[in-house]
Amino acid sequence: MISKKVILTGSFGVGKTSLFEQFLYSKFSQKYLTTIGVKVDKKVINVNGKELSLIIWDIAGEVKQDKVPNSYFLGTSAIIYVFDVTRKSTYEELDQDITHLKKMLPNGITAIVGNKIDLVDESFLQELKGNIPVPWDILTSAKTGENVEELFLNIGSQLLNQNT
Amino acid sequence: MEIQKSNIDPGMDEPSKLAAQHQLSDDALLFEELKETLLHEDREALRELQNILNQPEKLSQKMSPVLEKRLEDFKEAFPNDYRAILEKIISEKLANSKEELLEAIYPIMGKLIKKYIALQFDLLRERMAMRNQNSIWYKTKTRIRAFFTGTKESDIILTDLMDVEIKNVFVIQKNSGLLIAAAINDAELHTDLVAGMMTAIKSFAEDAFDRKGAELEVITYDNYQLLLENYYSYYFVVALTGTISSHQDALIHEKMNNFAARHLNRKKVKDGQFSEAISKKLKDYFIDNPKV
Ligand SMILES: Nc1nc2c(ncn2[C@@H]2O[C@H](COP(=O)(O)OP(=O)(O)OP(=O)(O)O)[C@@H](O)[C@H]2O)c(=O)[nH]1
Ligand SMILES: [Mg+2]
Repeated sequence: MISKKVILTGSFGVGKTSLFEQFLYSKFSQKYLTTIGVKVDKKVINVNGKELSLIIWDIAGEVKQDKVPNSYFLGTSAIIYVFDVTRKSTYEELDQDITHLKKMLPNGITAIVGNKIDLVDESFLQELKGNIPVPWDILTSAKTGENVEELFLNIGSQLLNQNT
Repeated sequence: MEIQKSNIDPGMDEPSKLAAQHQLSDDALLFEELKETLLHEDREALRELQNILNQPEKLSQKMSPVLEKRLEDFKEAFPNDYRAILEKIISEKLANSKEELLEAIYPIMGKLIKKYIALQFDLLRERMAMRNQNSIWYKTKTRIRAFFTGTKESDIILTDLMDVEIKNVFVIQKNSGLLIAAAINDAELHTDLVAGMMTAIKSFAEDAFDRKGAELEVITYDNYQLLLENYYSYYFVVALTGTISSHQDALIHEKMNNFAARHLNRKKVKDGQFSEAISKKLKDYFIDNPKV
C-alpha cells in the first residue's frame, strides 16, 4: 500500500487538531488543548477502489508559516493549510504564508481550508470571499463534520493521481 | 521615438552628378593602369596560386607538410583534450549518482567509526577487570563461572551488566518519517505512528539545538533506550530494555551498519514504501538472533 505524508498547518487555534480528530475518530471537543510539537497519526482511505495510507502530521499552530521548523515540510506530499473564518488574524497574511509553503513544497499539493463555518452564515462567507488575499479551496466545520471527509479524500485522490 | 531618415539633402543637383560620374570613369581607367604597373608581380603570384589550387597534385604537394605538422600537434595535444572531456563526463556522472554513493558510504563510514569505538572499549574492559579485582566476593563468583563455562572472566563481568533485550527495530525514511521496515516484539505498537513521531521528535530536537549536521543518536525513557543510526536518506532505530554498556552500544550500531550495507540501498528506501521482505530480514537479524 502506498503511504504519503500530509501535514496540517496554519495559525494556532484554527482547528487543525479538531479536523484531524474529526477525520480520524469522528469526534469533536469544544475544549482547546493546544498542540505542542507534532502529533502524528494515520488513516487508510479508499479512493476509487485504491487504498492509500495517509500519515498525517498535526503541527502546532504558528502565526507565521516561516516559524514552522523546516524539517517538518521535508518529505511531505501534501499541505493542508487551515485558517479560521471567524478570525481575521488567521487569514490576513494568507498570501505570504502560501508563498512560503509553495517554496517549501514546490511540487506538492496544497489545500487552503477555511474552518469553523458552523459559526457564520452565507452572507458572511460572501463578504469574506471578497476580502481574502488568496481564495480558499474548501470550507469546513470540524464541529459538524461538514466537508471534512471530502477534504481528506480529495487530497487522497490527488496524491494517487500524482503517483500514477 | 522614431528615427528620421532621407531628409538629408544630398547636396548636388542632377547635372552636376552626371558630370561627376563621367569624370569617375576616366579616373577609374587611369587607376586600373596604375594598378597593373604597380601590382604586376603580385598578380603573377596570384595566378600561380590559382594554378596550384586548381590542380590537386600540386595542391597536395604543397599541403602535405602543413597537414602533417598539424596532425603531429594534434597527437601531442590530444591526451590533454581527451582527459579534460573524460574528466568532465566522469564528474557529471558522479554528481548525478551522488546520492547513491552517499547511501553506500554511510554504513562503511559508520563501521570505521565503530571499529575505533570497539578498540576504545577493549581498553575499558581491561580497566573494569582491574577494578573488580578488589571485590573478593565478585572475584570468586566469576572465577567459578569462568571455570565451568570456559568464558573469559572479563567477559562474564560484561555480560552481567547487560541484561539487554532488543524489543523493536525500525527503518524509517528520514524526511517523511514513513516506515520502511519494522520488527516488533510489542504487538500493540502502532509502527507507522512510532515512525512518524520518532521523526518529528528527531526533527524537533535537531532543529531546536540548531546544530548543523548533528543528528539525534539516542533517546532514553524509563529503562527503554532508543538507539538511532543515521544514514543518508533513512535511519535506524533499535529499541531495547536494560542497561547498555558502551561496548554493547557499539556492537548494536555495528549490527545496524552491517544490515544497512547488506540489505538497504537507495532504491529500496527512496519511495518510502513499507517492505515486508526487509522487515522479515530485520526480525531474523535483530530479534531472532539477539546476540550482539
Ligand atoms: N465552532 C467550531 N469550533 C471549532 C471548530 N474547529 C475547532 N474548533 C474549536 O477551536 C478551538 C481550537 O481548536 P484546535 O483544533 O485545538 O486548534 P489547533 O489549530 O489545533 O490549535 P493549535 O494546536 O494550538 O495550533 C477548540 O476549542 C475547538 O473546539 C469548528 O469547526 N467549529
Ligand atoms: Mg492543535
